[in-house]
Amino acid sequence: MDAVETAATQQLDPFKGVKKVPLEEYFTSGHRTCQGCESALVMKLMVKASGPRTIVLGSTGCMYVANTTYYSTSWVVPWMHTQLGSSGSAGLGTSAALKVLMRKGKIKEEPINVIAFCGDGGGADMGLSAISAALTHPEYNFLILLYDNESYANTDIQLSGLTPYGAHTTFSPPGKAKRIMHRRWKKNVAGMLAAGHPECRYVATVCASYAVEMMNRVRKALTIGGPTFVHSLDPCPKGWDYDPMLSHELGELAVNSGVWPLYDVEDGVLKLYGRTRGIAEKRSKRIPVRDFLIKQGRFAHFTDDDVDYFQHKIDEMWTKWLIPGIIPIHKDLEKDQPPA
Amino acid sequence: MGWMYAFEAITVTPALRIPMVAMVGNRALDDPGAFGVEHNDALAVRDLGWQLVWVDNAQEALDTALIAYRVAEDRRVFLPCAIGCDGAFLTHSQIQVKIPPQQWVDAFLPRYNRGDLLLHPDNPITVAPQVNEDWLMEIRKHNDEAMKRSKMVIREAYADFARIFGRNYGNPFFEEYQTEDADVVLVGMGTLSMPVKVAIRRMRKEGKKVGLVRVRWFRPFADVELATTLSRFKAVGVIDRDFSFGSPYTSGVLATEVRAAMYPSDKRPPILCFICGLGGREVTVPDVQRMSDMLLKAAAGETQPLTTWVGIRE
Ligand SMILES: Cc1ncc(C[n+]2csc(CCOP(=O)(O)OP(=O)(O)O)c2C)c(N)n1
Ligand code: SF4
Ligand SMILES: [Mg+2]
Repeated sequence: MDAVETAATQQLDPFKGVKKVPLEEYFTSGHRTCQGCESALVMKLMVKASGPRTIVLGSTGCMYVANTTYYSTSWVVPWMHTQLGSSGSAGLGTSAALKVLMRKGKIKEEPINVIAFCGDGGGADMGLSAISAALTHPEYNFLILLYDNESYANTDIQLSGLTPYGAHTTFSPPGKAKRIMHRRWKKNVAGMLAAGHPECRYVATVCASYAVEMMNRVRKALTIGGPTFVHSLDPCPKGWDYDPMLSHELGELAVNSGVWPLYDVEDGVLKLYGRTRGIAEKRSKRIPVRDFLIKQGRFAHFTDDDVDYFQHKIDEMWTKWLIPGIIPIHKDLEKDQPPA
Repeated sequence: MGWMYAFEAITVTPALRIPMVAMVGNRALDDPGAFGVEHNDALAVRDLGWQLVWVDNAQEALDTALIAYRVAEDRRVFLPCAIGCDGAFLTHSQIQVKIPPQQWVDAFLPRYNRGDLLLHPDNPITVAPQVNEDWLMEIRKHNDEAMKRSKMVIREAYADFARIFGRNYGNPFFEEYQTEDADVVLVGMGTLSMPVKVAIRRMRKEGKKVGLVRVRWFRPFADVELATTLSRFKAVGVIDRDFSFGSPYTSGVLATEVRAAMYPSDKRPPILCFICGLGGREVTVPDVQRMSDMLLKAAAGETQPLTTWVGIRE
C-alpha cells in the first residue's frame, strides 16, 4: 500500500513554562466579548501558540460576532468566517487549497497552520458530521478547536448538546411546575472523536485556566499533523451566570471536581494530565461537584437531590466507565434514573 | 439534492466574491422522489448573486464551462456561476464532444488570480466580518454592480471564444430558431429545445409560423435584449420546467421574469406560461403543437389562460 502523502508541519516545541511564552499577540484589541469571556482568552492563547504563519477559520457564534466587527478586527493573522456547521469542511478545504496552491507554485512552499474553530452549537451539534468527515483525511494538516461555552451563547444562551444536565438556559428555564427542564446528559465529544477516527493522530481536552498546558496541546496538535481536534471548556459569565472575575476559578473547579477531565490521545495512547492525572492516580481527591455548581446562577434552582444526581453521574464517570473520564461504555448497564 | 444540502455555503459564495463554477445536474427536488429534470434547484439561487446559464447539449456544456470560468474569474465580475444541465437527459447520456487543445484553452482562460483576497499569512485580511446595518447595503451593492458588469464580460468572452475555438454561438444570451418570420414564439431553457425544434419543423409544413427562443443566461437576465426580440411577435409562450407556487398568475419562474422584462416595452404581446416536463416527464411533439395552437389563438385575439399545465393527467 502507498503511504499517505503528508505535508510538512511547523515544529512547535512545547513552551517550557510561562516565562518562555512569547510576548507577541495575534489576537488583540478590537473585540466586544463580555467581560471575563474565557472563549476570547482561548482565541488569544490559541494563536499565540500557533504563531504568525497561521490561517484561522471561525464558525458563526460569539467568537465571530463579537470578535470581528467591520473595521476593528482583533485578528492579526488572516481570518475568515465560515458557516455554523462548517468548521470541519473549512479546515479541510483550506488545508487542501494551500497544498494545491503550493504544488502549482502560486504560493511559496512552507508549512502553514490551519485552525478552524467552532462553538459547541456549531461543532458538537450542527457540524459534527463535517468534523467527523474531516478527521478521516490524514493527508491534510489542520486543527479543529471546539470552544465549549455550553450553550448557543451568541443568540442568547439556548441549550446545546453540550449544555450540562439541568442548566438554566433560555430554552430550559426552571419553573414552579417543572424544576429541571433540561434532562439530557452532555455529549462526550472528545472521547467520541478519539474513539471513532483511527486516522486522527491527536485529540485533546483543555481548559484555559491552565494556559501553558492548553497552548502546548495546540502546539502538539499542529506539529503532529493530519487532522486533529482540541476541545476547550470555556466558562461564560453570561451563559453560566456568575461574576466575571470567577472565570479562571470556574475552569479550575470544573477540572478539580472531575467534571472536565484533561487528557490527550496521541497516536492512540491516552494520557491524563494536570490535576486530572493526580485525581486518577489518587494523589489528589476530587472536590465535590457542588463547589463547582453553586457558583453558577444557571444551577441556582438545583435542590440537594439534583446536586446528588449530578455528583452520582460524575462519580460513575470515574468509577464505572471503561476508561474513566473518557470512554463511557459500562461493562454492565446499571439503572440510573434522575430524581423525579 | 446535494446542492440544497450545501445551500448555506452556496449562499455566502457571491458575497465572498468566490468565482466558483458549479455544474448543476438539474433534478427534481425530493419529495416526492424523481431523478429527472426540473429547474427549481438551480433557480433557488437566482436572487443571491450567482450567475446562471442553461445549456442544451454536451458540447455546449463543455464550451460553457470554459466561458463560465472566464466570466466568473474576471476581476470585474468575481461572482460564482452555475451551469444548468438537464438531469438524466444531459447528465446521464453519452455523446462525443470535441475536446479543445490545451493551448486554445490557455489562450482563452487566464490563470486564476485571487489577488488581494488571498487568505494567506502574507496577506493577513479578515474575511466576512460582522458589518451589520452599517455597511451591509454597500456590500450588497458591490454584488449588484458586479452582476451588471457581467453582461459585458459575457459578450467579450463569447466573442473571444468564437475567435479562438472557431465555434460561434452568436448572441450569447439566447438562441433564436426560425424566428425571422415567426408569428409566435416559444421560450424555454435547456434540452426541451429538441422536441420544440422538431415540432416547429412539422408545424411549418402546416403553415404555422412558430419559432423558438432558447434562453441561455438567466442571471444576468437579458432583459432589454429579450424584450426587444420578443416584442416582434404576436404572442409569446414561455415553457417553464419549474414551478413557483403562488407566483403572479401561478406561472413558472421564467414566465414571470419574461413578463417583468417585457413590461417597459411599448409593444407587449400576450405572454402565456406553460408548465411542463416536470420531474423529467417528456415534453412531446404533440405537447409543443398544443402549446403553439394556443399561442396562435392568442395571436388572433382569442383570450387564453395565462398559465397551463401541459401533459398532466386530468
Ligand atoms: C445554520 C445556522 N443556524 C442558526 C444560526 C444563528 N446563530 C448564529 S450564532 C449561533 C449560536 C452558535 O452557538 P455556538 O456554536 O455554541 O457558539 P457561541 O455563540 O456559543 O459562541 C446561532 C444559532 C446560524 N448562523 N446558522
Ligand atoms: S456570551 Fe459568553 S462566550 Fe459569548 S462573549 Fe459573552 S462570555 Fe463570551
Ligand atoms: Mg456555545
